[in-house]
Amino acid sequence: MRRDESVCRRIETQLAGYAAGDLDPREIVEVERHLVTCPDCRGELASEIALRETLATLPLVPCPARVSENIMAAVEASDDGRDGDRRLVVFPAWRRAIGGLAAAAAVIALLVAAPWRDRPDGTEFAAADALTEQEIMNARRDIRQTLVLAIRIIEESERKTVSEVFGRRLPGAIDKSVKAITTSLEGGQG
Amino acid sequence: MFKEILRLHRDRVFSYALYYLRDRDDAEDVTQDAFLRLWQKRREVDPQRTEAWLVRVAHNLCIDRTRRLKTVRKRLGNPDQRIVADIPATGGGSAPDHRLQRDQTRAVLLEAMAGLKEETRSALIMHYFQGLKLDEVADILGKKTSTVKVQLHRARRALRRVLDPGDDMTPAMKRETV
Repeated sequence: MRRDESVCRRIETQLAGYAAGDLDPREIVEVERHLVTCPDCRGELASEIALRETLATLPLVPCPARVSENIMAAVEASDDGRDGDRRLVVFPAWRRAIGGLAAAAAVIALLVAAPWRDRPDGTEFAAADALTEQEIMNARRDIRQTLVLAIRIIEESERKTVSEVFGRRLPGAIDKSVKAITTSLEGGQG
Repeated sequence: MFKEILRLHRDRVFSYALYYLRDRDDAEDVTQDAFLRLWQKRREVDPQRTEAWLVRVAHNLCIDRTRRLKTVRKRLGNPDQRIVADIPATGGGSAPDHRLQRDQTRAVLLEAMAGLKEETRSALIMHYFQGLKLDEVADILGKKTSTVKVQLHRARRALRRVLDPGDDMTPAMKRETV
């Protein structure tokens, strides 16, 4: 029997649905009628089934527990006993990064500011007194990482969001961190 | 109730985002956002179609994220390779040789999927992996069912080309070249 290429092409696009049992009865009849007479399309069906089986080996990847916890925390925080339609708190990557960025910036601020401050007994206060070499190395590593993150934040986020974060939130967070560390150092030496 | 829905669908939504985006952090964010949107729209979503609704939202979030990250990935290097490490190892029950072969095939498959057009990859993941019906996939993608069938056919052809380099043409194509 002479093969009709246009029929083969049409049947080939039906094979995924046929293998999934996802065609209507009229289409099933058409596919099966064709398969009886066309060994090539039977081969194509075998290929479809093989691919389906291979893809079936892709596992379902378990969602990390922290994601569920974040979702439930946001949901519970929004559920005030009414409709819970208040704006939900979300935790995208850039927002999670703000803490780290603020901490790294606070360390930079300390490194810059510390040598010019005096101890209570009148001797000069050096950055090396406040931070060990390891801490400084860690800070440098954090700074490198957070700078990469900062690039991502800028690229990923809308201009408005970035402006809000860098214009208001971050300076505030840095200010707070610097104050907290300074207070802690002064308290520890007093 | 919502907790139960979350427990029931979180792995599917996360897996969809991970296979689509190939980045664990991004997949986590998408999963989070999709469920938070479900919470906000919970009175409007048909309980019978919750999973399809979630996949649709996750899909749209993935598209948004892909567009925004395109430039960043160019600059920072493509983290696609990470997905292979993110996917749990095949469970026991088969011979080590067979497991190894399956894991290697899987790695090649993931690589091949990464090379598909975004929409074709979406249709592939939704239909073969998520088990969504063709009309559901079409509905989510905003396409005709016939278009989705063609996309899946193309995906099959492209994946076969990678998995079996010696056989990269469908019978109809082979006949045309004769």
